[in-house]
Amino acid sequence: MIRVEGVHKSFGGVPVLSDVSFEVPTGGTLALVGPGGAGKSLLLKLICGLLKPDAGRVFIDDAEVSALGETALMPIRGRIGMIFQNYALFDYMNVGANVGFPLAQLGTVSSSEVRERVARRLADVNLPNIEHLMPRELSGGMKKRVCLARATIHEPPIMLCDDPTAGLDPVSTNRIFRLLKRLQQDNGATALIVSHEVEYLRPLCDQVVMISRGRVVHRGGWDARANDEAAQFLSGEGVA
Amino acid sequence: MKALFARLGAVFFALSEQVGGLAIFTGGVARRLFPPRLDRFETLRNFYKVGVKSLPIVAVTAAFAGATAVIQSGMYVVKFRAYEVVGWAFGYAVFREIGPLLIGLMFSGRVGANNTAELGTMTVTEQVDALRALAIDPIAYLVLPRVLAMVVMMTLLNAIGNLFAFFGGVLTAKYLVGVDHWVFWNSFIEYIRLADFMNGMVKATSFGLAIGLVSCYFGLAVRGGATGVGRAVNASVVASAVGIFVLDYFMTYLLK
Repeated sequence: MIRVEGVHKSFGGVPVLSDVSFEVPTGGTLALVGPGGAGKSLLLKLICGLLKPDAGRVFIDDAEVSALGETALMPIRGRIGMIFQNYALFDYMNVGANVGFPLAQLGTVSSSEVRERVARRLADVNLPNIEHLMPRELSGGMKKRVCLARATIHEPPIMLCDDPTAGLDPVSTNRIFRLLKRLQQDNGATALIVSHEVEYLRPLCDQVVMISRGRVVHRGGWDARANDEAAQFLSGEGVA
Repeated sequence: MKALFARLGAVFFALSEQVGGLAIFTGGVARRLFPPRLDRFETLRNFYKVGVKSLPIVAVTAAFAGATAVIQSGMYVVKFRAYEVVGWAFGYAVFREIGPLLIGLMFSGRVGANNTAELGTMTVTEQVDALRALAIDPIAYLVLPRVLAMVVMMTLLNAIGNLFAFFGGVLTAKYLVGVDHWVFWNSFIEYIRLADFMNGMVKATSFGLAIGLVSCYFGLAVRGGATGVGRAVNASVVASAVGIFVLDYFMTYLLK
C-alpha cells in the first residue's frame, strides 16, 4: 500500500506540490496524470524517499518513508522497482550488468543464476541476446525496456513508473504498456504509473489521480465529468 | 558599500556551505569504513582507471621535474664546483617537495576532474538516484572505491614517479650539467635518507585522500545539468589545488 497524506514541496520558495493526498491499495494500480511540470515525477521521488516533503507524510505499508533516514529506507527501497523517465541506465556497464545489478548487489544470488534471470527478463521485454551491448548503442525504446527489465528483475512488490513511454513511437508504447500489465499481473505488484498516455492507462489502472499546478484536481475513477479540467485531460484533449 | 558587504557575506556563506558540506561528506565516508563494503568490480575498475591510465602522464611529469631540479641546482653546482652535492640537491628537492606536489597537481587535473565529471554526469542523469532507488548506498558503492583507489594509486604513482624523476635527473646531470652518473649516484646515496623518501610518500598519500574526497564531493553535489557539471569540475580542480598547497604547507612543517 502507498499512502500520500497532505504533501507539500517547494523549491526556492516556489510551491511545486500543495496538499497532495491519495492512496494506492496493495495490489492496486494507479495512474498519475497531469500536464508537464505538474509535479508527478517529484511525487514518485518523494514516495521512494529520494526527496523529503516540506510537510505531509508518505507511507509504504506501515513505514513512514518521509520520516526515515537513508539507512532505514534501504529495506523499503529493496521492495520497490523504479523506472526513471530518462532511463538512468549505468552508462559504464553493459546491458547484462545493468539488468542484473539489483540481483548481483544482493550478494545471495549466484552469478550463473543472475545471468540466467537476466536472459529471461530481457526475453520478457522482447530484447533477447543484447547483454553485451552498451546503453549508448540502444535506441530510446530499447533503453526504456532495459530500464523496465532492471526495475523488475528482483520482482518487486511495488512498482513506480515515471513516464515509461515518454518520447516513444506508438508501437513501442503499446509494447511497454502490455509488458507493464503482464509484469504487474504476474507479481501482483502495487503499481503507480505516471504517463500522458491516457488511452493506454485506462485499461491498465483501476484508479486515476490527476495533478495540475501541484494540486490534485481529480481522484478516483476514469469518469471525471464533475471537473472540467480533469474531464478535458482524461478524454485525451490535454490541458493548456 | 552595502552592496559590497552583501557580496562579501554571500561569498562567506557560500564558502562555509562548501566547507561544511565537505566536512559532513568526509564524516559520511569515514563512517562507511566500519565495516567497509566494497564492490569488487567498481573497486578494480577504479584502480585501473586511476592508476594504470595515469602512469604515462605521471612518468613524463616526474622525469621532467627531476630534470628541472638538476638544471636549477646545476647552475650553482658548476659555479662552486660542488659536484658531490648534485644528487643530494636533486633527491631532497624532488622526493620531499617537487615530486609529490607536481604529481598531485597533475593527478588532480587528470583523475580528480575526470572523477567529478563522471559522478556529476551520473547525478544529473539520475544514475545516482537510480542507485539509491535500488537500495544501494552511493557513498559505499561509488565514493569508497574511488577514494581508496586515489589514496593507494597516488602513493604508488609517487613512488614510481620518483624513479622516473631519478632517471630524468641522472640523464640531465650527465648530458647538460656534466656530472658523471656515478658521482650523482654516490651523492644521492650518501645524503638522501629513507626519511626524505617517506616524507614525500606521506604527502602523496594525503594529497590522494584530499583529491578523492574533494572530487567525489563536488561530483555528487552537482545541480543543474551540463552547465552544473562544468562548474563542479572547475570548483573541484581549484579546491583540490588549494587543498594540496595547504596540506603541503602543514605537512612540510610537521614532518620537517
